[in-house]
Amino acid sequence: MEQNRWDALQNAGIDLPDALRRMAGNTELLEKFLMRFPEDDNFGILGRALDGADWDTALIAVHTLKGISGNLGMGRLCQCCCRMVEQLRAGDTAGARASYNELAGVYRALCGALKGGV
Amino acid sequence: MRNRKWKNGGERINIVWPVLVCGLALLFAVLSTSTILSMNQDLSALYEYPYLNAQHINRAANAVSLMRQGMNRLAIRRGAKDYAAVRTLVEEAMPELEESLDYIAGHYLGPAEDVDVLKDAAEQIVVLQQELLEHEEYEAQKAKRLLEEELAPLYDQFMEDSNVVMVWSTAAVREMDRESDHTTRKVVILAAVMTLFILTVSVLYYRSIQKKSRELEGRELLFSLLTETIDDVVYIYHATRRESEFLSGNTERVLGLTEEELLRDPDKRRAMFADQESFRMVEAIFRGTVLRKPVERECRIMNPKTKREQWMLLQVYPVLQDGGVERYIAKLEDQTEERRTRQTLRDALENARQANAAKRNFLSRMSHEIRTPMNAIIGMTAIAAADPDDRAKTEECLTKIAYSSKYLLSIINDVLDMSAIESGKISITREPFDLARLLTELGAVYESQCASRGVQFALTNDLSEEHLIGDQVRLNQILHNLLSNAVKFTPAGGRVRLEVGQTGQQGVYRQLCFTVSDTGIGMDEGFQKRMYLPFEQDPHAGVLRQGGTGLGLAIVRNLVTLMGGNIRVKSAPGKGSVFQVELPFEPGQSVCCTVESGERKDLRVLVADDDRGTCEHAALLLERMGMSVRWVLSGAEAVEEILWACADGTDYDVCILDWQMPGMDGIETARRIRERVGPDLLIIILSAYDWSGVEPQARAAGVNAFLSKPMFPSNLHRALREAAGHGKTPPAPARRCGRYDFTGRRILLAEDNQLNLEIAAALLESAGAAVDQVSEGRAAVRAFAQSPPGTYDMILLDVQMPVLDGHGAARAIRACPRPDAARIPIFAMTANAFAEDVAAAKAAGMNEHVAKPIDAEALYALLDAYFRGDKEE
Repeated sequence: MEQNRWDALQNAGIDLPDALRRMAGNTELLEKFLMRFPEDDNFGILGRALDGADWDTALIAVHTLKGISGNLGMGRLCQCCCRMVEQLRAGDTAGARASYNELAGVYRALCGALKGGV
Repeated sequence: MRNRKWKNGGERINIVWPVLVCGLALLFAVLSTSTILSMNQDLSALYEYPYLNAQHINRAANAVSLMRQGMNRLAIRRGAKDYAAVRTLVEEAMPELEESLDYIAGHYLGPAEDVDVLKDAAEQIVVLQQELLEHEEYEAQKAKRLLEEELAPLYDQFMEDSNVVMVWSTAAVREMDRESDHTTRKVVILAAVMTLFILTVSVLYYRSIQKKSRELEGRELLFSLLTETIDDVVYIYHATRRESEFLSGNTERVLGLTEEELLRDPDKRRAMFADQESFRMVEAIFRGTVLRKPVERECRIMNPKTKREQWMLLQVYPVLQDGGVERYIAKLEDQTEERRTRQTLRDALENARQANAAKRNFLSRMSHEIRTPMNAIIGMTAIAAADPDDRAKTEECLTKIAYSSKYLLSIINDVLDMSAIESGKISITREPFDLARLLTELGAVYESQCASRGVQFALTNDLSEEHLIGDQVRLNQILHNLLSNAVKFTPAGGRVRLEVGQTGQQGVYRQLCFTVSDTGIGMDEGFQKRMYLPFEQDPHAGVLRQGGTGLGLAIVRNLVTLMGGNIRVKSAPGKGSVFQVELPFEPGQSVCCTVESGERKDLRVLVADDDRGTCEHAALLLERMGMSVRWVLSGAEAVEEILWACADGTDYDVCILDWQMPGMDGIETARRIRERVGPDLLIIILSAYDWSGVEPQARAAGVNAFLSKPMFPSNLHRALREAAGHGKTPPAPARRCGRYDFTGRRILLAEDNQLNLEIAAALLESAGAAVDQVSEGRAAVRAFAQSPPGTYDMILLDVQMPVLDGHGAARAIRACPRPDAARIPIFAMTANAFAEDVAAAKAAGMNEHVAKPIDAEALYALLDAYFRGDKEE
């Protein structure tokens, strides 16, 4: 991977070394899945679920998103998701919405970084 | 009958009183009569004596006066004519005087001297008069001197004496009068007293009689009341007089016939007796034959009012008098209740005996059923222990042990369940549960069971409700019991089918109907009547019976009843059976059946399936989700329809194709469609079977996603999402990775998120393993169940999957009746790493627990450890 791209991704909040380790050092795989990340619709589902106050679906979506982001080394996103999962589990819907706002910001930044610079 | 004295009330009426009264009356009569008679006598006496006496005295006095007057004439003239005249006068007066004097003498009640004196005086007068009269010659002087000095005083004396008598008589009358007054008074008083007395006694007597008769009335009333209220009909018949004496007033109540009808209407009487013998006996008694001893007989009668049959006990007693039958007393007692009670007791006794016998049979059968697998376990254990190095034998033994212990457990569970149900210890819970998941699990298990027996299995669901509130465990138990029976009794080539639908709604409860039908050996009517009884097993089932407790249906029936539902069966020998269970459930919260977003609306969907029912059901579901649907019955039609629509400009957005169709199957259809139409059309394959084997082909042909039957909205959603979510990406190429080499290993991977699935699969493939990817639990179970034993070396299951989660899939896999089911390593992949999650995973039969997000190294290490351990065996 080019250095620029690496930096860009790193700046976007992706812990590339960690992600790479998880992928057993397979850069190609990591690259591929990073590219596939924006296509995953869990973020969209989460947003819609929150709009519709469908907490169950939101929980499933954010939990899944947490898993994916964890796999791809997206630390900050993963943390947001963790927080939101706990809030939803505890029934703290207001807190969850607040977390979502942060989460959305991070997600969009990530996607922007991933799409741009290809 | 003995003569009894009445205890209270008076003693017997005394005979003295009337005697007394009669005596007194008689006395009174006698007294009155005698008094009257005496009065009468007195009156007569009064008349005879004083009255007449007085008269005669007057007469005598008159006579003397007359004579005096006459004689005095002589004082003046003494001519011969005068003497003659005076003589005549005296002669005329003399008899009167004598007569009177005689009478007075005879009737004077006073002192006798008075009369004598009078008589003397009269005599002297007479003598002197005679003297004078005879001596006409007497000179005037002598004659005058005789008249004046001798006669005159005599006359005066006579007058005085007669006066005395007169006075006395008068006094006597007065005396009599006074006496009669006295007597009258006495008699009146006596009469009054007597009358009063008689009156008093009569009144008392009358009152006493009244009291007696009132008492008698009272007793009669009591008797009537008694006979009316008791339930026995009493009838007294006078034999000699041949007439009815008494009939209790309760006949209408007890027999349904009034007195009139009973006594005077012979037709009604005859109609009353339901059996003719009793009637004849009764008639005989009252018409001719004479009984000497009491007779008892049970007879049946038909009560015309209640129109029911009654059993009566008829008792007839003859009452003898002077050696002959005087009366019959008949008593009819209603025995119906007693008979019924006796019958109930007899039945209860019989039931108890039968229950006892059944229990004894059960115990003996159970001890056999329990011992058999127990022996197998012990035996197999011994055999395995004897030859631990013989791997094949050990495997076989372990398989058999697993089998037997499962069977043993099921028997024990059944028995415990049955006992719990019978002692009322079972309670039905009300909890939300996912019907879709339940049916999916069930379907997975039975599909594999059926497949291994060569039996076709179908599961259709007409409901769109997936979430319900009720007792999931019991529902599962019921369906399991019915399905296992169906499978057990259906030989190879047959078909078992579970249909789920809704038959109605009552308030908030939905009445759901679960129909388990099979084309097995069926049951005859005789067994159908007994099949719900505990421990009943069909004697005709023969070799297919394969043991079993005989409690399954009994448990099902009891549970169904406890849950407020009902169960029906239709079966005939050789024609299979259909069990229909209806149970009420409350709808739970549906989570995701609503249309998700605007983009889902107005999607045009084409469904192709050779089963019309499936097409209609799918259409219904899709329409409910807001899509417009069309369906066709074959692949060829589907292709045609798609092309037409394309030409029309009304393209379809989604095409759902059944995989197994005659003619052109789903995959071929998909290929043909994809050839002509671009990537915008989503093609989804719908199938009841496991497609994981053909997935690559299908995807290559252009299929975007898979959907399993039965179709639930959630599945459909996901499939649509999946299909719309990504394009057709071929799996990542396998790449060797570092020190780990899992070549030759085949891993089954289940993960619902596509990205995660691919990541995990890629990681495994890069270590050389072959990976079968499935995106949900049932597919995993199916893939495993339908693969030959030993296909997979490991199963990785994401815990959090919709429909059937990792735990459920693990349980189903472990429950599969094949040797590797218990041994194959199953790992749970989950972000939840709490102790209870680990415990839950272990409880579901999983060996290890892999944390997410996945760490390749960690995963490799774990796999390696397991594989290596495997190799070392």
